[in-house]
Amino acid sequence: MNSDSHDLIQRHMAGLLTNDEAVALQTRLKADTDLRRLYLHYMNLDVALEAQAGVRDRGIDLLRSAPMAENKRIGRWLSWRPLTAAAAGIAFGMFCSSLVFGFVGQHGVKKTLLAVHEPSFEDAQMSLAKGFPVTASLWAGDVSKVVPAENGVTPKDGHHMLRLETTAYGRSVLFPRLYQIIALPPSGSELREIEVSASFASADPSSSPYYTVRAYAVNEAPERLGPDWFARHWFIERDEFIASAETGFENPPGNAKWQSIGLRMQVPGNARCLVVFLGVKNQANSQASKPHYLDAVEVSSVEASSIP
Amino acid sequence: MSPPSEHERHAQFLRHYAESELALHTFVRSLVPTRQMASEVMQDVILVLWEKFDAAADFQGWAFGVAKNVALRHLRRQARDRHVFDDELVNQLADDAVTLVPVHDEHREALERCLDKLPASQRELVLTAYTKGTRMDELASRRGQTPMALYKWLHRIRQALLECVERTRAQEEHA
Repeated sequence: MNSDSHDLIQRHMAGLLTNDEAVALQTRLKADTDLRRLYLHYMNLDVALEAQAGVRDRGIDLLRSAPMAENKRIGRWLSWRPLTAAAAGIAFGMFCSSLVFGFVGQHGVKKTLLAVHEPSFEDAQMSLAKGFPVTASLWAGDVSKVVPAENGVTPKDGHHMLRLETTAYGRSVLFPRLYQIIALPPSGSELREIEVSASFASADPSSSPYYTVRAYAVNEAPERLGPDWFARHWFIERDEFIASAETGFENPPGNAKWQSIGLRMQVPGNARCLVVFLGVKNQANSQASKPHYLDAVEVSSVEASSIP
Repeated sequence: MSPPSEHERHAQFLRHYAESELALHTFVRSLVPTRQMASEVMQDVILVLWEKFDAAADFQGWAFGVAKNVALRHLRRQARDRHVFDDELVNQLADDAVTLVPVHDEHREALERCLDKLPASQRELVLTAYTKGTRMDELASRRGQTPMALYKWLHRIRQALLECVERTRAQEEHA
């Protein structure tokens, strides 16, 4: 293969081709099996180098984060692919609500509730944007609606709750999700603890949905996250994502009661906002015809009190 | 037989996905014009894979099909961009990519040895260039180079690495 072919492919990789060159590359690739093979070799090299660089980078971050080993996840190396992290047993833990709040009254610990928009979904007119929230203090996500008691489920708090649909537009929603960005007040501490809890219930006691609470601390201002933030962060690490934690609970079949689950995470003091993610994974083989419900979301900052 | 629990399904998915991840990423990267777009497509691919995962299926074949469809969906949004491949070429690349999976596995294995053959400063530079968040103009500036000079250097290194991995693979085949 001549050097022109190598050059053309590599400039394509770097985004340096003119429109005419891009058309020429496409025409040649269609006609030339060997050129396609070379092209695919280069693409494999590109991905492999990115992976090698990631391994090196994670190694460096692992060393940096070593003193913080008690954290659920701090540093980019652990933010790499939550599924992988979950498999390694890094991020998961479950606290029932009594345990979440059990330590709050500990001597010398001060708990401050952080402002969550509509934590109990009491505003029946609350609109819910699709996708990732465009700004702080808004609920956004998949198809859902504020409802009163229905389907044998009564709200956990107040008179309303949020119904997470398991079907939308005639199709199953296997993983209904909800997000809110919460601005974090300035902290004088290097580290502070944040608690996130929420209650879930299912209208279908024969199913065994997996309830998930995740939180991501970010050192960017809320308005800079952008609508694609979560999609990017699901599997791709980024610098501003500085701590995260996840907890989950597989609701056993037959359990129609509210399940309160929560997490506690250590967050660097420079974190400017917290992205809270609440979701329900349906079993792929479930009928997923009945909705799930969410209520009583609470986010708190826990700091050591100055009182001895 | 009872269906797998969520945790079992999760574990099965992770095992399959881990085995195919780099091959899938290479495939997606070959279909889209930039590494960033490849990352974006991969995020959608893995979500679809997880949502529709069936442990009984031929995972890799199915996953390549999903990845092609997701990539095509992304590409169609930018259909006017001449840097974006049309469906005909995407399908050709899809067919070729599947047959090259074992070759590319060997290339990736050989890459580490080939990187080790580079002088430490060059190895460090190429990995820095590939580290997420690295801006080529800033990296070039730090080195007192123009961005174009850095790109040309990277071209030479990549070509040398590709020749090295192919040579290594050929030697191992004949060994």
